[in-house]
Amino acid sequence: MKRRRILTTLLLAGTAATATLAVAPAAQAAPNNGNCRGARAFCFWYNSNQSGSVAGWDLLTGFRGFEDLAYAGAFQGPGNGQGVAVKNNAASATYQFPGNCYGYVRVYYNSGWSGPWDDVPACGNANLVKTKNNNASFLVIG
Amino acid sequence: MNTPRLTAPLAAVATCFLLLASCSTNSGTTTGTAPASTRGTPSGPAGTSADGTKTAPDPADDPTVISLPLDPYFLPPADNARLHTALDRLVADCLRSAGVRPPAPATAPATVLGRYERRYGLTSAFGARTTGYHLPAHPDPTQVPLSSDQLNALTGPQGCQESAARRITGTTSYPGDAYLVRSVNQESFDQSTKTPEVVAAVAAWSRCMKQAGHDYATPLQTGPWPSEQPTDEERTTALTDVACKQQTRLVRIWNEAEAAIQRTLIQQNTTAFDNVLAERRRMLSEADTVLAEGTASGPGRSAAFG
Repeated sequence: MKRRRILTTLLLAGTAATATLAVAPAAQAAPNNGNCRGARAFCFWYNSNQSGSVAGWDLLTGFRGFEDLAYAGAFQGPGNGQGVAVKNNAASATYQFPGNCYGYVRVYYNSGWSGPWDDVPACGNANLVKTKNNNASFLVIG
Repeated sequence: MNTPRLTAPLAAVATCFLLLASCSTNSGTTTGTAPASTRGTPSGPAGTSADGTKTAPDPADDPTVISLPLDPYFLPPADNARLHTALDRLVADCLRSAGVRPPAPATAPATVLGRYERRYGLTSAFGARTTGYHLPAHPDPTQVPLSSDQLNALTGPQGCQESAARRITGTTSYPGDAYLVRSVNQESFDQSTKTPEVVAAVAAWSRCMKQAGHDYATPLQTGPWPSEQPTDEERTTALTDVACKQQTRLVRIWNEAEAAIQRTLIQQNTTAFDNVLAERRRMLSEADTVLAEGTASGPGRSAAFG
């Protein structure tokens, strides 16, 4: 399915707040930033046990809490796997959210938040159970 | 396992459009908690009782209600809450000992999609009619703001969160579902896509969609849609998708096939699955120990920072 890719820039999520989205909008991904830093960040790693190249999203700045990885680009961090597409190539993941450890990120194995999934707890790490065709979209839940 | 009936699929789709409320009884907020009678226990054809007589429509045919034998092995929300209460206590004690005021505890997030809501593709007629393949509106939970002192004391290998996690989970990570459970969750799905029943049902669904002018090989190829907001075309496609699933009984057929596979995988790994439950009991016991310790001295100490 070929559809025009529309890049959108979202406003900063800003300070602590409860923000209700009228309708969760478009599916294009914000590009990953190649690190796993920030007070709230979700990251995929190319290798197991949080090693190799990293693709990270700072969830406090301009992030809406869900991504379809068709548009996420390549792993940008230094190390093994740098330059490889993020979609379907992650081996492990990290969700850091200090002081807010109750949520999780659900990593779906198909686009459109469908199919089976793997959960990564907040303030936690996980080796994904498959290392190929395993991360097509994700949804931040808390 | 039934073969999907494909008599006049378009007529059924049209009927579903006209009587959409009757095509699905749920609003897309299922959490995977089906009645016990439908929990991963394949039964007879819809509308047929055990003695073969016709009955009312079977609730198991509601495509938004899905359950699987693996369900008891996922960490239950109530148990997770106990673990988090203990983790919060450990973190607070650790911060106080470092002279840092603990932040307010985080609260459990609201569910956005049910555990199995899009496992076999979109199934909620309400969701299809309102937001199509886009996600439903959902709040980002209130974030607990942190001072730099709190942030520094919480994080890192020597941080309070990691030490709390080590005590409860034995790892550097906060609790989550066991690797074995997550593995079978994926493996059963992969195997199910290759069963003759699912292959036939998916093909029937694809034909139903094709007859309505939508060309998809499987229900997992329908999203995402890239527009900023759901479009009429998207909603129409999504409604046809849901109606075709109902017409072909795709979700129930797929769910039953996957349930059978999970039962086999669980039986083949009885010891490992028992260990998952044993490890959960160990974590809960440790959490109870932490909370019992905290009861004696907690209120007095927290008052010092109140």
